Amino acid sequence: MPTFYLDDKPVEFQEGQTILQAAMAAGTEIPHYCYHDALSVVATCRQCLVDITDLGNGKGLPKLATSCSTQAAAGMKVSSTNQKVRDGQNIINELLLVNHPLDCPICDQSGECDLQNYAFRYGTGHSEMAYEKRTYGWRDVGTFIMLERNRCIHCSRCERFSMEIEGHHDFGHFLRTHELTFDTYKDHQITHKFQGNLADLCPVGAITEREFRFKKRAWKLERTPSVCPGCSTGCNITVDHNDGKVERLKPRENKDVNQWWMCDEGRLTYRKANDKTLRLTEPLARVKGALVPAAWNALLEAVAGKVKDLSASGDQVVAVADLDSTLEELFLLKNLLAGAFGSGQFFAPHAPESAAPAGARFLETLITPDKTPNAQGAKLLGFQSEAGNKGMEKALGKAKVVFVLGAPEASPALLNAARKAELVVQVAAYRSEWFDMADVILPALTWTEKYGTWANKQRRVQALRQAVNGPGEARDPLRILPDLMRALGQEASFAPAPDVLDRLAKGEKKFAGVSWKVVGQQGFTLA
Amino acid sequence: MLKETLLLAKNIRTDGYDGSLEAYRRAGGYTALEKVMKSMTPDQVIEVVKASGLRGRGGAGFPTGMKWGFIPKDRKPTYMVCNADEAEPGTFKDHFLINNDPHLFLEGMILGSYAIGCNHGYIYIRGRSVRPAQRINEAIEYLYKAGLLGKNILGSGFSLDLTVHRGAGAYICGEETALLESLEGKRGQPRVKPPFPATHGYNACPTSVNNVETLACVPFIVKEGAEAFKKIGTPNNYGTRLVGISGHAAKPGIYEVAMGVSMKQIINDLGGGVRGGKKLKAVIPGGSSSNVLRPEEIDIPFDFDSVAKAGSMLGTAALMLFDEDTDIVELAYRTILFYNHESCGQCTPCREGTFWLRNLVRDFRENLGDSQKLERIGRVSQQMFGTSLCALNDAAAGPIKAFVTKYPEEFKKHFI
Amino acid sequence: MPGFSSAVMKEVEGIFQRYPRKEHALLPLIHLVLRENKGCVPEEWDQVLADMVGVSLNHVRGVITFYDMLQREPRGKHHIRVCTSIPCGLCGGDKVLERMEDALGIHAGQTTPDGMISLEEVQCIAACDKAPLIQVDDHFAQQVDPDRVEEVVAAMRRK
Repeated sequence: MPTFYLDDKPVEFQEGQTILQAAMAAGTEIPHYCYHDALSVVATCRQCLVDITDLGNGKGLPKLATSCSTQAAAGMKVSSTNQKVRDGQNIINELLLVNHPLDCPICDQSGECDLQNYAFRYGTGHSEMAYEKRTYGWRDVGTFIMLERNRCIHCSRCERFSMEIEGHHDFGHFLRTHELTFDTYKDHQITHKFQGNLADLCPVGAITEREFRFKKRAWKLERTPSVCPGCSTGCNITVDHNDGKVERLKPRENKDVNQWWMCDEGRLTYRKANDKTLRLTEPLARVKGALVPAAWNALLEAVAGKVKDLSASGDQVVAVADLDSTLEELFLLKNLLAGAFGSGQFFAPHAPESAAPAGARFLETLITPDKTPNAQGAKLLGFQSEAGNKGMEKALGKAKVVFVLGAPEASPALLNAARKAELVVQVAAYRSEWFDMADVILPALTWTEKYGTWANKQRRVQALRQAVNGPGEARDPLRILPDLMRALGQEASFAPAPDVLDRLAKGEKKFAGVSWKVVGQQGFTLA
Repeated sequence: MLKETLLLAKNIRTDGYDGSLEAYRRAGGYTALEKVMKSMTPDQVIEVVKASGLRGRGGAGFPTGMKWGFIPKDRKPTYMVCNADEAEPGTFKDHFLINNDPHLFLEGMILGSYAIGCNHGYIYIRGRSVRPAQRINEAIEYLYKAGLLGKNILGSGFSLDLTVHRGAGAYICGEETALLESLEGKRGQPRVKPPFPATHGYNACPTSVNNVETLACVPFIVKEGAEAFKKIGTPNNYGTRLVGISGHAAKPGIYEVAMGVSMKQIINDLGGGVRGGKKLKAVIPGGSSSNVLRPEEIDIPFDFDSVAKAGSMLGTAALMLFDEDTDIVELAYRTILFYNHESCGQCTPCREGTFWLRNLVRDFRENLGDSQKLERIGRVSQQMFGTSLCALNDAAAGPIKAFVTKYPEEFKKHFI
Repeated sequence: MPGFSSAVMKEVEGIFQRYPRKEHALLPLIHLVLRENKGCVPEEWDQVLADMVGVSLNHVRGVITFYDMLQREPRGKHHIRVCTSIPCGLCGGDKVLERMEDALGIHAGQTTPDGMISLEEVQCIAACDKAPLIQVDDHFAQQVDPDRVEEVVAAMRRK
């Protein structure tokens, strides 16, 4: 690969890469606002100025150049730190603050604001501007976002997203001079499903998510990489949390899955992760028709005793799993059924797959009609899946013992069939329509509280990581399932998700080659 | 006594000349076109323009032949665009040509179009110039009738259409990429370069944008040859300039001079010096974006290189004179007001810098200045210089820096 | 929604012929709107123009708010532009504007209540040797004497 010199250090670059791109790939920060990997280059914020002292032909440029719009060339010598560059960075920063309200104390972006960060890192830290600043009021520009134009630094990312990525051109720019403003058309309200991305792209607090407004200081948030549970795309995300509470979900770049984006529906799934009203926090047992709290060990033993009394085996034992169960959980459930009962009756009801959304734009394919994160995984593990499957209804009708993992989507007919079983044991995080018929409820952790993997629509195995602790006595299904197995007389013990995944990879042909390590932060696509 | 050198204004200075097609042809007009259509290849036209050393008259002074030579030969369509957006304070030379002898630059434009293989050219003229736009349109109509435009010009097989495109009030559209944006029905915001218009110009096709006065030089060069053109002016600065004298001059107007003659003589002999017998305080030599010169700095040859050496710019050769009663602060204020108003706003330094400088200079105008503010004007204008995408930022910062550096005493008069 | 007459639509077709893409004809079309609407582009036209040339509403609004000739409010029957840029501003243009405002009883940017005359302060109109300069409709008035502004206005009122 050809090489150029950035601050006297050799940097390799690919043909066509700009100085900024090559520097970022090499881990050197050059401050910038308007540049974004996903968007066209406009080179207007002027923050990424560098000094090209040698173009590679012995001649330098008299003026500073924007590194976002200048291609790297072999032998080029670039300074991003000399005095000339410092002066340039300083004046750009100072000028950006000329009309900026400096309302950081009440700004939601504070702590993750590029303007704030760069002002400290590359600015002089003060402004001599002493005139009245231009001001605007808050604007309600979308169902999911707010606009505070006083903070806008005119980077035009919002408009370029609207035109180039989303396509509706909701954001435009109007007027000129210092009156230039980025806004929607008059009182137009944005209603599309990707507004949160505008807030993500905005390098300052001009566009913010309503959902996060005035809720938490950004610097308090811990960010745990994970995967969105909202649909079969499995957008890579971070779960941003503080004090055991999930505050928001943000997309995490993955060029092969969601690029830089996620939809607003996905962002809102954090609400359920925090839900207290439907959350199951203690083991429950049905006594005289009512579910009453019970102790974990006693309850597990009681389940084993009841199973023995029923002397159920083979066809008489059925498992039904929800499609947000992890691969590891499904694997253990399958093992439990096979090992303790010799049963192969495991189901994961699933709405028939409608055609994947098609469209010229990537965003149009981001949201799938399949609202489950691990349907492909269940299918690959041999879980029978079609909803309205008469076989499932029949099997349930004959079952004495039913294990329910999560809250599987179920038709009334299916629920009625399950109701006839002698023993229904549910391992779940939330109350659902299964609540009324379960004889035993074992409270489980939800997706933000545990480790595990899901396989998305591309059969890409992606990892969830624990961000917060579960409530009350809720336990990891990876612990509950082995405990149940042991109570039922099998040899089993708790193993963390990576170990279970290793066993799965060995035991299931279709998962050959997968491991926690290869899944990493970007996922692993099955053969 | 300095005299005019008439090359472009020759017809205009002839009594009774009305700029019609008939009059222009009677004066030898369109013989260059006839010559080219009959006996020259496009490359030969480019070569003769290259050999003449003609440099663009729009402000930057880039060699025209070289510019045409950059147009790729293997890509079609290509576009010739004439920049008639003249809107810089002090500048009115292009309007002088358009109003008085439109066929001169039109012939140059047809020749240029042929040279770069263009079959549809656009003349971008500022929106408020309603009459000049009409003037060009009328001239074009006559050209179509005479078979000098349209299909198969003079039986040569070469076809060309010309369209007048009116702007709508934005000085920045004089910047060539902003002009192209505006021509494409967009806001006139300068583009990132590269790519340059020569490869990705109008409608992403190879395009050459040329000033009216530049194109007006072409018929002479083609007809009389490069050497004839090079006899006028000084090395590297060949030909004449249409100098627009305005401000407090006794005889304001357009004067055509050979490049390299004394600027002082232009001012005194042609412009009649300062009106009312007053003393000269300041000269702006090349339109409002060029740096001001003090009276002791004006005894220099008037060409691209000499004016640049003096720390200013020949630009549009718009000489503005200011007499001893002129308040330099007022001059600075009018200058920064203009650039603030005309900033497209996309780049940070220009958008915020012109706004800040405008506020600072206004303080002096209202007698609220102080030494700190004076220093600040100097610092901000110095630091913002050279940091924007296009030259408008520098056109604002440079002159302001020059005003405070060269006339600090004028600013001190306005201290609080 | 407003629209062009069929006669003007013929002109529009002719304009489209002159550009490789319809959207490039936006400014010429806006000039037609100005001509047909007392020198202004009312907001109701934004959608019409957007549909005609095939661009977004924001594109049209962005363009209209960019160029300073394009105003939303109707002009007076006659429109006066006073240049206050350099050199006009330093040759008495600012005084001409002041007198003009006094004579008309309006500020720059406004129209007289009878709708007869509108006044605009403009930057350079490219006839600097005739400073200070005003433009009345499409005609220039040169070297305007601030003391004679009232006469000019009176003459216009008579027209």
